[in-house]
Amino acid sequence: MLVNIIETHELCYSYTAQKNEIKNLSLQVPKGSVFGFLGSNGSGKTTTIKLLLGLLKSSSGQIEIFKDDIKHHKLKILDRTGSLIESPSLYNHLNALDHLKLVARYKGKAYTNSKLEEFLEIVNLHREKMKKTSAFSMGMKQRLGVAMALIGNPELLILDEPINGLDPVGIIEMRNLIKKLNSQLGVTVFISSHILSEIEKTCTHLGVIRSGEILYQGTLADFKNISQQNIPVEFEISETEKAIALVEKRGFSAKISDTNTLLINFNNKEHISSVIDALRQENLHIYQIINRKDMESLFIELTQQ
Amino acid sequence: MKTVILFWNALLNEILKTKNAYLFVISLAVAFFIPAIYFVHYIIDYERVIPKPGVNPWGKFFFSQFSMTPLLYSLFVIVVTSYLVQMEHKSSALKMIFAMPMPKWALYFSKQVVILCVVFVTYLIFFGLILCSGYLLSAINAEYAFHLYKPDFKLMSKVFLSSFATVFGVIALQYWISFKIKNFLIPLGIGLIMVIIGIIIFRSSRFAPFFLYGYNISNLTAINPANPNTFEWLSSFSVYSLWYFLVIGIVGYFNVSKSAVK
Ligand SMILES: Nc1ncnc2c1ncn2[C@@H]1O[C@H](COP(=O)(O)OP(=O)(O)O)[C@@H](O)[C@H]1O
Ligand SMILES: [Mg+2]
Repeated sequence: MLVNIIETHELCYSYTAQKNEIKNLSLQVPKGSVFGFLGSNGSGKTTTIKLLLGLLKSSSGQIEIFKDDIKHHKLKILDRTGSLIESPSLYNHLNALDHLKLVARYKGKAYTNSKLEEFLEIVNLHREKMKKTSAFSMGMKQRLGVAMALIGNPELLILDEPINGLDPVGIIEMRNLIKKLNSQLGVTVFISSHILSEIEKTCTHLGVIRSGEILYQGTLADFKNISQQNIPVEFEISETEKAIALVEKRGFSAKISDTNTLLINFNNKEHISSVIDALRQENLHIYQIINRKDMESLFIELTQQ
Repeated sequence: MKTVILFWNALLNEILKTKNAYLFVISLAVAFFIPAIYFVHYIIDYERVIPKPGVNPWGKFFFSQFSMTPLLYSLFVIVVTSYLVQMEHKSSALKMIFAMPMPKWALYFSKQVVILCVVFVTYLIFFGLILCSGYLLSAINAEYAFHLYKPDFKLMSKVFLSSFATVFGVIALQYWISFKIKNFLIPLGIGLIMVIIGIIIFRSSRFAPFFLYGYNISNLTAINPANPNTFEWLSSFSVYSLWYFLVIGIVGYFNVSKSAVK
């Protein structure tokens, strides 16, 4: 049976009386998953994470992590959880190793310096262990923040937009790190992002949030399937009038979207090549085919109001 | 036992965070300020300050320097408190710290203890510098006569400890304010204004017992120069300050622990 590491029921939160930032949010994050929490800026990702960590108190609803209610077992839950919320919390006058010492002590772990350096090695910062964080680049700070979250080998890792400020190499490293932690150490990872392609590359599960409401929740594979049930494809083609007749005869809906451009709706991507064959048989020229529907556009469709 | 370890860990972390050059320089500067001025004063005005034969020079040397402390040390306490709390705001560290498996009381009070320690150590250095500069003056010119007499350590310790005790209440209040207000200048400004008011009203026997920020200076007025040994280990002002510390500490803690980390 699949156990949920995080489970929220009808969670509500508002910063001010006027607005509800989180509305009846019910999340299920299965054990062993990499859960991508996807939403545009201001959709409520950070707020949700702060609720999960007990930094904010929900106005109603329930949060269970490791099957324990956060209201009564907060410290026990936090003991098994590592987190990075928004930008990492770093003291300018302290070096990288100092920061790991701080977290280790807060977590009650008596680690030696060489043990702490192992955490820096994971994020490729061991050469900068004595450097003050004021001299760190954005990407280095972000990586140190992740190293801090890894102290104490948490079973649950909550990362709020961890690839923010990382360069392309850093992004790939982060992706590999998340995959490694998940597959080799069995860490459940809850990761928020506003970039679908990123979630798609790392996550097994997906939750889409808009204005504090969950719009979709499930496996990434299911999400991909949904996105493939309605596929508008643009054909740039000679003789659009003739083409329209041909396509409609085969039972597809089509319309001219531009000069020389035909928009055909498919419900199965297998049908695309049969339409191409038919057009080619009539010697129509196809200059360009653009798949207008991918996950990105489904996400945009979901998240735009 | 577990509680002690938790608090000890939180305390060690707060000590690590004070590994800060500014704090170090400010503390030393404050500790050196008055003894340095007095040292120069004794060198320059030596004819006037050389004691009459048979008079212990320590009493005057010590009390006149201590009477200079209220403004400087009250401001120092406020700056240190604001600065150490501001460190957390500036690093947006509260969201990290409060998501650690550490009870909030340990987080809240450990920093307060460290602030008290910083102030205590600064007072202690000041105290030590007075002694050192006295002996140094005598080494330069035996007429200062510091080497001929023993300082009255008991009385000095009374003044020292009661002065230290009078800043407890201010620390608890400034600490709470700094925690709630993320802007560095506002708690500092509030503290500055309060200290000035304290220095104005400390002579009023009606208001002085209630006004926290004036305790440090009021405390010194409780010393009777004619008969200094009647001075208590803790003056009434130090006791008020410790009560304030207890009450504001607890109220502040409950307020901070109930409020959200936004
Ligand atoms: N401290 C705060 N006070 C008031 N409103 C806030 C605060 N933080 C965030 N919000 C509001 O809550 C909503 C969600 O914000 P947030 O959770 O930070 O979004 P995300 O992390 O998805 O970008 C936004 O409308 C934002 O304006
Ligand atoms: Mg955010």
